[in-house]
Amino acid sequence: MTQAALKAVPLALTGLAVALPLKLKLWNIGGEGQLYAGVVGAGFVALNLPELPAAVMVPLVVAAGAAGGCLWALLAAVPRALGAVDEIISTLMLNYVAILLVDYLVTGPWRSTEALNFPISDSFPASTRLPVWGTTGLHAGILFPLVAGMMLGALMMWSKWGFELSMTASNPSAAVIVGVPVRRNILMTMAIAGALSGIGGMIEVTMNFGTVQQGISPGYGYIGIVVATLAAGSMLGTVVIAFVMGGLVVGGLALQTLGVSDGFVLFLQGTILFFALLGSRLGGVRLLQRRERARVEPGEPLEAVR
Amino acid sequence: MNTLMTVSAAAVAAGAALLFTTVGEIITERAGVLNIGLEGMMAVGAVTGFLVMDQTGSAYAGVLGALASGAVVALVHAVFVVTLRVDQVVSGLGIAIGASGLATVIGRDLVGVPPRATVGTSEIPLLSDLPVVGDILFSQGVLTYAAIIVALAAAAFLSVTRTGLHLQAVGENPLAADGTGIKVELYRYSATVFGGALAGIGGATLSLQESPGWSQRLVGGRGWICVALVIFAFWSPSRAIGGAFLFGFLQILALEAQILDLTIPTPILAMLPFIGTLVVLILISFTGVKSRLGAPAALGRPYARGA
Repeated sequence: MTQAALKAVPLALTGLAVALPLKLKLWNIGGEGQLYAGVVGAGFVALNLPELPAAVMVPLVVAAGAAGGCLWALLAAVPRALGAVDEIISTLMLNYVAILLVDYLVTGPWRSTEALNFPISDSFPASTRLPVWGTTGLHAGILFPLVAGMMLGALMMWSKWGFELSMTASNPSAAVIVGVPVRRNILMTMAIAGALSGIGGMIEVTMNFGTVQQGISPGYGYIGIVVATLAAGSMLGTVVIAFVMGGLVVGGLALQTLGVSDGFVLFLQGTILFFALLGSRLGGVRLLQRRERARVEPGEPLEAVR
Repeated sequence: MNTLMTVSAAAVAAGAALLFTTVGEIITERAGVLNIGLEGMMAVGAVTGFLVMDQTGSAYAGVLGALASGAVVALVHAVFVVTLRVDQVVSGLGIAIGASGLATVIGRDLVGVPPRATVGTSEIPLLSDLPVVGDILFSQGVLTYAAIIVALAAAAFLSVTRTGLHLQAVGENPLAADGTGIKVELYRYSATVFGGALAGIGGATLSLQESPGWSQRLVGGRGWICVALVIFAFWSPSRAIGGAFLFGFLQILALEAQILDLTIPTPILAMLPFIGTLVVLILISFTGVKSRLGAPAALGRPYARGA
């Protein structure tokens, strides 16, 4: 149960990273890359400053993980905000770049001299590990999706910012006219999204791997898309669904060691998504609000901003 | 052959898979349907093609299998976006994720299996004797020629044939097209399934010709590059030829680094196609070229009669 809950942590974070930009009808498909950028950020601190005491190290790896993911998201968000460059393709391209960056680091500058045959980095110092509750194995990483989900949910419901986002989504021209900083909000939602995914990567690398290496994520960034879609873009819903689906389906199946592969999990996620789409259609309920002027057309949405 | 020619020939070979897939997606999008699930359809095509070849011993049977499997996956997309009218991005993402996963499941026992047959190369008589271009263009794999022919045929189809013009009408203004008696749903179904079939062949081009074999990372982002290539080609099949070979070139740099005496680490070179895609998109958007140039007006929008 604990294991299943911990499996859901990165999933809830990458799910939120999709759900938040979706408020602006932006598709952040880059959770996977932002997660790996967080791994690189955390690795940079852990490998370069291994002497630090845990009291300094833990906040620093958290910040570095968040910063890595944030930077990675901004690489796509800045062209989107300034030039309406389609974020679906750009965030996706950056996924591959991030994974290759990890490849480069662990076969090059960060390659451990001790593990001769494996492309992995040196082991992280124990001071990078997040606090763990007693013998349960439950670690503080679980707080991040819970707190982030609640905070973002509250912001969306009650804050002026949340209202700005939904207004921009429903009528970009009107939003610009009344002075909503659309560009800044694009950057802000994407930056927060990247930071969340990055923290997910940081948690995985410090708690489950303890070394920078390939294959830290079995596709959390992609499954996060399914999770956020099933939650119809709701923040709290995303966290709940991540724990139900990620915890029970991903964690549960993997725990039974039935030889279930990452590929099967992805196939299952895609199938669940289609059944949910079918169900919502037949039930007459829209899973996601129909996007008038479907926003994917490059340059088309938020045209008024330009 | 000198180094440059070797690299150029390899670039053309590597562009073939991209070209099939991009042309298919152009046809799909010209009918007004966006299918960003290319990555998944290529993966299913690649693994099905290899599987059928492994069972039958015939590479061409494999290509047919890939064609059929890509079409079936695209049919799922068509049912959801044309008939059920769900968000095309969501369905496309579902295809990309689910079909990539499915390909991994199908191919679990095929990783590392040596191919029993591959699609061979064929030298075009006379033309292959030409200096320089003979080696680069006319001593290629059969599927590479097929890709170029398909691209040219698609261009002719769109601009010359009645059906092609109807298809464009469906993508530009489905309401008006419907009004003149064109069956909008039929065109959108056909175009989507056709795009899937070509993406399937694109996948088979990888697993049966370019680098025969199957692994989970075989497609490795090419499907997404093709989504961008459609924009790069301004939705024109003939312009896609140049784009595909350009990105083929960026792809083989990592593979041919040793021949080229490049001292840049392989992972960095392997980033080039992805960074290149990003740069191209940014350039298109910032240099004032309208990025929607050539984009079908009704792209991504569901059509419901009377809605």
